[in-house]
Amino acid sequence: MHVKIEKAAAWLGLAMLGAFLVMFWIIAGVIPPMDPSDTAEQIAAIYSENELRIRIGLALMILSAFLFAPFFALLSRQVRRIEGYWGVMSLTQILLSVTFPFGFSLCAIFAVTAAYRPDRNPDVTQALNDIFWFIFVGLVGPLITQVVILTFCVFIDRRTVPSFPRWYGYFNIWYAILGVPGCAVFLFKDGPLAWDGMFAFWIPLTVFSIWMVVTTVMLSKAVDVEAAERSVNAAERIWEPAA
Amino acid sequence: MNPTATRQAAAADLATPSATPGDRRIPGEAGTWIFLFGDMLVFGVFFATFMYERGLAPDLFDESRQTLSTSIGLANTLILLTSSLFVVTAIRAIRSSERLAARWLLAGALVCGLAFVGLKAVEYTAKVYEGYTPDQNTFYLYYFILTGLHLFHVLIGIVVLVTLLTQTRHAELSATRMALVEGGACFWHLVDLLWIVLFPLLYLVS
Amino acid sequence: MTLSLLRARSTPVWFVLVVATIVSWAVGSDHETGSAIAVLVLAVAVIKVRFVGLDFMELRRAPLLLRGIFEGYCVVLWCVLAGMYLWL
Repeated sequence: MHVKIEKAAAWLGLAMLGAFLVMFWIIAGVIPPMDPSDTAEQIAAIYSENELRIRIGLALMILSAFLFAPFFALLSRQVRRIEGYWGVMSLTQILLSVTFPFGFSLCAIFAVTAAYRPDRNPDVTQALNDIFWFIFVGLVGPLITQVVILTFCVFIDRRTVPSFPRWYGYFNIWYAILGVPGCAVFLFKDGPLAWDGMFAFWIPLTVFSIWMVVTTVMLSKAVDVEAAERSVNAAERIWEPAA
Repeated sequence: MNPTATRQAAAADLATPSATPGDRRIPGEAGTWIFLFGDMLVFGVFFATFMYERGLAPDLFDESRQTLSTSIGLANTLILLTSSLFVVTAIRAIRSSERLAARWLLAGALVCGLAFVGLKAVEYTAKVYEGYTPDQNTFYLYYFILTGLHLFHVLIGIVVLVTLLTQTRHAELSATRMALVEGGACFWHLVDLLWIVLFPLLYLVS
Repeated sequence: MTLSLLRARSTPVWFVLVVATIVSWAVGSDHETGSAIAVLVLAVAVIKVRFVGLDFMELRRAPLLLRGIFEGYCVVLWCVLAGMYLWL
């Protein structure tokens, strides 16, 4: 039963990646991103022309973003297994996982507000739009920190059957480094480090998608490792520590 | 400090350490190459993006390129090449347990790395002082971003080199530690490799 | 002791790399846009990258898949960059 739930949580992560891409790209059309150097009038025009699809796509995201939570709960549990107890690393994973869904839902709320009243002052719409992109693209700290902690855990895992293979640690280093440039969007209005740029948007989006796919598979395998360990422990009547 | 061991190790080195001649082994751990190739791939995308932007304004790029200090760029390339030689020789020294030689070589590589950072600081300051800033035009934007990203890698590489230096304390390295040391060395060579492309791309070709 | 350490493939490779760098610099600094010299400079750069990978990163003795990926990368990189230089 536990294994079924845990595996469902892992694959839910992959499903949510697909859902996010469908909602943001296909329905709302906010991917490819708007141009940061557009004028307020141009932004207002985009929002009034695409009012319906933006509001529907992003409203769906606001509703469903929290389905990322079980995936990250599972990730935190695996970190706890490596750490041995609910220590600093696993608790930090949980704390940062709390913020993760907001990276999608909170930014969407701003965009939906921007689309809500098309006849308002375009400057207000542009300001709300700016906030949407800043949160969506610029808030990279939580996930990067999670990934760095995960990397550290993969490498310190000295058990005979580790939860994650060592190459997964190197993979996470690669992802963390490439995810960082997103934080530069606050400083640029055009070029590769703006929120529609190659380095700050497209590469992080690509590597995030790859990371979700790989991590889903890795978590699913880690669940099997844990299940095997659990049945061995049950046979020898060793209980999991409460904390 | 054992010439016999070195000669034997050098001979064995031509085959491979602890393997029969003709055996192929992965430098470092297999996982390291996911990271190294991944980094090379993404930098490849960055290089291509730069060339794409150049294609949109070739004369602007050529004009701006001429304002770069090619001599500093050349010096930096030679510095990194030399540091890579020091690192690969140091690895050989570690394999034949010549810890003192390894320490000197790694220290030399570290000095080279710091020299690179120093020259970069001089170069950046000179550029800004002359009025060339990242927001001036697309060329300068990419110049600062690409070299900045590379500099970030150099700084990480310096930390890696310091870590390798601490590993020379041990007379014998376990297989895992040796793999990590080789991986760290490969990361430094990656830093060198990326600059080998960046220097002509930014300073000579644009 | 150090001298015998240097008696390996990597040292002459380093020397060749240094010479290639200086030659590229001397030849490549002054040329017009769209010239063949730039393509040549890029080719030399990629050849240098190949040497760093094979002799410094020790890929020469690595499994053929790993080495193949690296060499493939070098070829693709040169083709893409030179192609973009000439045709964009």
